[in-house]
Amino acid sequence: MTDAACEAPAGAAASLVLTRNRLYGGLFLLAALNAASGAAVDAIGDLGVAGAVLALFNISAVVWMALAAGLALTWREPDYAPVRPLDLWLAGAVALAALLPVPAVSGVMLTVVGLHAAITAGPGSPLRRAAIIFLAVSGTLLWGKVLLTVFTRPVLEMDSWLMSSLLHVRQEGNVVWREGGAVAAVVSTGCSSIHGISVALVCWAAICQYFAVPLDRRSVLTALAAVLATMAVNMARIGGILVSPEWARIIHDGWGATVSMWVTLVLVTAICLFGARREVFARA
Amino acid sequence: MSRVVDLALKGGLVAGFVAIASPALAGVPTPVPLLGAGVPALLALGGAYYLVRKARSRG
Amino acid sequence: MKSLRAPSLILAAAVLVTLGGKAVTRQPPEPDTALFTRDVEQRLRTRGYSVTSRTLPSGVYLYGARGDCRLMVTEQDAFGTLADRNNQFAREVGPLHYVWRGRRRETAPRAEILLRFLVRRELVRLGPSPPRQPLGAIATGPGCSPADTAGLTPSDLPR
Repeated sequence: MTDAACEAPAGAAASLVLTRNRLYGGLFLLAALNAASGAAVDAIGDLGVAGAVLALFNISAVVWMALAAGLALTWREPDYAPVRPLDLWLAGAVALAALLPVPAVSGVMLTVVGLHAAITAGPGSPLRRAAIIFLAVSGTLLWGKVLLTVFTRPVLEMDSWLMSSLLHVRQEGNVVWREGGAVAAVVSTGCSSIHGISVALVCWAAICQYFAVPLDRRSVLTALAAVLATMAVNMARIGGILVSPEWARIIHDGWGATVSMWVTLVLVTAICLFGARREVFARA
Repeated sequence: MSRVVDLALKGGLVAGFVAIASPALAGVPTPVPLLGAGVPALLALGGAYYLVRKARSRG
Repeated sequence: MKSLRAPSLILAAAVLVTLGGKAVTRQPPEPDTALFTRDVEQRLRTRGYSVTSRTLPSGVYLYGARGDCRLMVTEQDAFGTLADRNNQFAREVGPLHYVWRGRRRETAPRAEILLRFLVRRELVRLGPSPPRQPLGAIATGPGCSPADTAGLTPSDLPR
């Protein structure tokens, strides 16, 4: 049972305070912020409050922009769809989950309400588009990490196998090294391309849904290109680490890490904007 | 379209200045989490969004 | 848009209350592998081994030698990311086995170790700080007997 955005019923108060869109927008934000709180607490512990703010609480700037985009879709677009009883039950569940001290539970609730909203909202409606953005956000805040935790070895070995095939380096499990090289790299969960891929998908989802880009071959190819770009930069990064111990230090801890982050960010944003240029640069 | 390219180039310059302001790029070692994915990245993305909005309003 | 004020305030309050509750949770610390290393080094020396160590970004590897017996001991992380690396270093010495919760195992019981690690980590967020059970990886040379490696690693550590 779906609802489409409908005209305000005659005589309805223009200041209808709680509509379906607003309720879900609030729930999405509440669940997302609580799902991200684990990383935030760690950031405050490691960097202090000021440092954590500067580091955006170790949450990608892409995710922050996606949160803003999703909230704008649900709170700025006018809608008059009334709240249903099931929506209130879900709201209670999200609030309860948010009160628990375990951030992952909020991540699960974000996925649940995102799926429910996406399914019950009208095609192309602001609520469905916002739901898709927040589902992508739940992917990076929770499910990417779950994948890495449950399938650590297969994921890391796949990362390593790609590296050994493309960079022509030796591989044993998740250890890669150049023949005769002085550095062996252990591809750990922090180095996995999963992190970059999940953020690239958030970028793609946010741009496509905010600008109402249809899901067609072009947009799917754009997503693929963005994912491949993150993997290519990650691979180049680790390839550089294998060159020498000095390069390993620069790339892992020094300015090389910053450069690779910026290159990835610019590439992914440019690819997603280019793929959606028809809708993004259309006259507003 | 040339206006968009023009805006994009200006935006790129801005982003470049913001990036270079990060001490890590200047060669001074900084702990990776502090500035790398932090406020400068948010400024860059916000700048990109601003450019897109300007491009859309001009058509 | 004036009608957005009330929902905004409610949302802001909900965010403040829930995040405030999370802010008083503790940051779960990384397992202190230095504790493991110091403990094992102590045990090795007490038994008359001469001890050397190799410190790498992937971890600290302790080497003990006593008579014909040569062995290597290191801690392996709960996710198993260091398993292949440890295997490579172990090959220089001999076959690798694991010790967890005081028992010798030929393969690391990954699911159980990971589950305990994650449960403990969430508990530490809330306040209680139960001891952790480190996973020891031991490689033994041909001159070592099973008695040489019994009780070499701690079954519990405070952090």
